[in-house]
Amino acid sequence: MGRKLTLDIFRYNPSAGWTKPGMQTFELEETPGMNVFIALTRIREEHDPSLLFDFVCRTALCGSCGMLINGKPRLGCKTFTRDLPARTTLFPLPLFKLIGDLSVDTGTWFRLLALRTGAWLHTSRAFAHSILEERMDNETALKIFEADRCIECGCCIAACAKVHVQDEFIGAAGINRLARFLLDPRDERSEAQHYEVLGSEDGIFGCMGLMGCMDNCPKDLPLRDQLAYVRRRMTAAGLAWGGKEDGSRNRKTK
Amino acid sequence: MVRAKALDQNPRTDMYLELTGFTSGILLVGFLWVHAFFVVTVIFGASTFNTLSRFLEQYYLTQVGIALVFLIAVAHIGSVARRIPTGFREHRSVWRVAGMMRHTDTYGWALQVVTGLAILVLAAIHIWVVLIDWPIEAVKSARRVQADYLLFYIILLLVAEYHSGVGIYRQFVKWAKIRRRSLGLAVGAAIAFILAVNVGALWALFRLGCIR
Repeated sequence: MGRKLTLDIFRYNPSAGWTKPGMQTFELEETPGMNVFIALTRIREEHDPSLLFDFVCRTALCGSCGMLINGKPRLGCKTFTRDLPARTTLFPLPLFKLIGDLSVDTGTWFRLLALRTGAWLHTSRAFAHSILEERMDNETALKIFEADRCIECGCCIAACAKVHVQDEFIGAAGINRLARFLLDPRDERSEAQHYEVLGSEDGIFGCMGLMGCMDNCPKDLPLRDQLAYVRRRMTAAGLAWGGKEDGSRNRKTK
Repeated sequence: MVRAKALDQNPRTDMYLELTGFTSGILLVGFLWVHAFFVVTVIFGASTFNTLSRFLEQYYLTQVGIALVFLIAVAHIGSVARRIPTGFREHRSVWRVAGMMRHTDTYGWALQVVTGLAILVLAAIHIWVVLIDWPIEAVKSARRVQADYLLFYIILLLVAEYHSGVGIYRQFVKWAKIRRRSLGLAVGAAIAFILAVNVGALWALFRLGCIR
């Protein structure tokens, strides 16, 4: 016989006009190796088929199951019930658009972030499928990969007090994502162009070093090192910046 | 998040504000340490304290120092005030985020806002009472500490050291590559040391006040 688990789950479905936001309590028996994903699936199958929550990969790779587990932003699939007390509270991630119950739309937020910051590889070279990919030294590739491990679950955004009071701030996910292009030798943007995106109160100079992001990152990304790196590099770029014409003058030549 | 920023601002403003807040903060912590070592000379007797005080005043170091610290403090307030949450809802947001995650660093900063505002008021009072009782002498300070201001100075000391400790910690978190736990321990030890120095000075002043 496993423990009896009590889950207090936030229920509200904005698309169903008659529901009111509130908490609903479910009880179930803990099974070996149970995580929040399994617990929620069982609740949906055995108690209430209308319960909304997101899961895709179940292996902490897709980033869809971010939620507040006892107030802390966590991935449902990576959080085992054995590490939780007998009574647990589940809330959807704050700041993102609520789809219903525990399901939120992080995709729109991240898409807007990418569009707004130009978070893709900027290159003038046309893609040619007939030639071999350019080689990159292993050290650079590993550094880029470290930033690229982000699954955009939104936990760092929900954990950042700054985003809660300044919704234009791009947060650790945004800065980490742009750090990846700062490191990539294939990206042809100049320091001044990177600075235009990152060098403001909505970018790296909005970060207050509260480290809610790093302490709650389910992927254990070295966010503090990334933020410090971007901060130092953008400060150097800002101090060396000479105005608009710099954009073309400093552009990396390849 | 979608609101477009006006393009007519100097793109370097936010960087300068960040650097001003950082530099002025470090300088103010430096001042707190120098101040502590000046005041603690009273442990070696009123005459040591007075000799130092007179020496500093003779060469206008005190006057220039006070003016400089005032200017640095203004720069510090001007550059860091932009971080203070505006309005009740923003304050509530910060405390709620800290509370829901029980997150030490977020609480640390939320309290830094409170202590910063407390310092603004208390330090202004402190500077005022020192200036109207010019010049600085051990007996005057001792009488002040002994008569009315002991609790005031204990509170000012605690909020100032808290604010500077958390401030230094966060600046190193933001810029440097030191493990946070080691950093926290190092800053904590430094703050404990300087608190001890200041408490020693207060105790010596209080005793001196009792004697006179």
